Amino acid sequence: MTARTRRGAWMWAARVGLAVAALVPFYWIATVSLSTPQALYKTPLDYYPNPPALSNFTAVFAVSQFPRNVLNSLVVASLTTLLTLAIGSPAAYALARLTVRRKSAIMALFLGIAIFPAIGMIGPLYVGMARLHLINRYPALVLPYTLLSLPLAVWILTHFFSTLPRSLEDAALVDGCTMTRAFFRIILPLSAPGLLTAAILIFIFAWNEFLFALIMTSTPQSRTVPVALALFAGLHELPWATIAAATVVSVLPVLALVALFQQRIVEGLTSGVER
Amino acid sequence: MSGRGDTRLAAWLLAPSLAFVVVVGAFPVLSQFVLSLWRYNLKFAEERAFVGLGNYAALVRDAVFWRDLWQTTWFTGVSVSLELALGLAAALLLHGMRRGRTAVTASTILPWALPTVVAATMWSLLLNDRIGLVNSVLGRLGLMGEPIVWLGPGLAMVSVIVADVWKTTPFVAIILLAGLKSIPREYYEAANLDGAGRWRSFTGITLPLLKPFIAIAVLFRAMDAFRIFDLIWVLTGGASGTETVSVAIYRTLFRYSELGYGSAMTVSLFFIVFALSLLLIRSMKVASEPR
Repeated sequence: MTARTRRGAWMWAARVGLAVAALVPFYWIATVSLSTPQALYKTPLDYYPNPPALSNFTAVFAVSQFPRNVLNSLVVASLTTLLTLAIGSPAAYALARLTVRRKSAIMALFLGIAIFPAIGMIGPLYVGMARLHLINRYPALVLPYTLLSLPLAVWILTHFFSTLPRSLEDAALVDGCTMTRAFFRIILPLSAPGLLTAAILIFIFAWNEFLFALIMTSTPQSRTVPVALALFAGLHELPWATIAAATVVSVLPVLALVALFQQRIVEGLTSGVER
Repeated sequence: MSGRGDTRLAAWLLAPSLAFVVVVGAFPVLSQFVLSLWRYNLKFAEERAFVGLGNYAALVRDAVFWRDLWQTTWFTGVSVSLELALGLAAALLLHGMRRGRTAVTASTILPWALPTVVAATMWSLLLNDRIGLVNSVLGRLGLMGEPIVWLGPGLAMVSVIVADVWKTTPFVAIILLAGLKSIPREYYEAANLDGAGRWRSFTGITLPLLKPFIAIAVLFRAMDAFRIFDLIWVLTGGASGTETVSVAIYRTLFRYSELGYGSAMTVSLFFIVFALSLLLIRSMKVASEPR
């Protein structure tokens, strides 16, 4: 073997190792979710489902409120995404393209929200939501999530708008459009890729959030998936195999998003970093 | 094109976001600053009193707070260093790929996209002392006598760091991969012509040009790691030497109902994270200045 092919072989071994390290925990949770609860206590342990069983999945959906929790998570994450984009994209457009007074103060405000420890906001927000009788209801999560994802959305979209050619608006203005019309008719449709990127990252954040969901909900029917998962063991005394099945179910939407939009996620994470 | 109309439109476009941040965000943030100046336990609400900086003075003398601050710093330092080293290795591996890159990149970013609670559940299954995969494999290889209690005293912090590294290394790798892509190929060709080897190219070209990207990745990671809550809450509940400042704030605010003292902890954490980010941004500026 020449030095060159030997080096290539090592690189490939390292790449496979990388993928395996990322995937082994997934393999194991899938294996446990497809095993019977008894099979997990065999010594030595089998490293594949033996015998394979789907009973854990039926148990998840029969014993608990889990389908309701999945629905809650979907609704909360979707509403958060829509609201954040609705108020965040005009703001980002102004910051990227128009003359903004006190721009640095506005940027500092967004940055401050991004840096402030979320755990400290929960108490006062809980009191506020309780006064408005919103505890255990969707707005109690959608409003804080929108607040927390707004800085990231504005950051990504400001970067995206500033990459669009300025001649677009100029042409629209020459044609007699107002700036407002130019924004809605020309810029917004062209920004679909940027909006999609921001939407995916906001959705993932809202789907995954745990701390606010833990405190703002107190009934099994109002919980989101992460909280339901974390409280599973204590509430139902479920065997590990069933917890694993619930975990697998909650991974599926994220799995689908990553498989479909891998490229967009990478773009979103690296926007503002690339030059 | 610009002018008064332009400014007015900008104000209208910014108004919804700013109004939202002020209505939903300003009240909770400001109330923490105000509450931190009061002695206020929710269970003895009538005994509340203005104490000025008293809570902060107590915090400075609080041995548990210092222990948690040290544990948080240790967690942040070790996990971010490991994530940087492994993320750089992963980015270099992905960058050199021509075939199969999509599949490997997708499987690499998967852990990052998971709910932290899910990642924590996965790791508590892997590390479970009776039915965990890790102990089973170690046992078969004859490397372990008694089952190892990975989430117990002594090893818990190591386990938490391993789980965090697994989950967030992809983020660092993606940022650094973008950095690698931004380096013009010609630089390497020129270095090659001058007879520079791979290692010389790496230390002379790759690392210096990657510095701003490294700084951004470290900035984002360090800010998140310093405020870590859910991973630890699910894996250990803060036991066995893994309590971080955020977990301590949760305990103080929601178990002990100490609103005043907990708020002082929150404000302190805010300023520490703020100082940390300023420090990192400064080093970022220094790194990206031409030499």
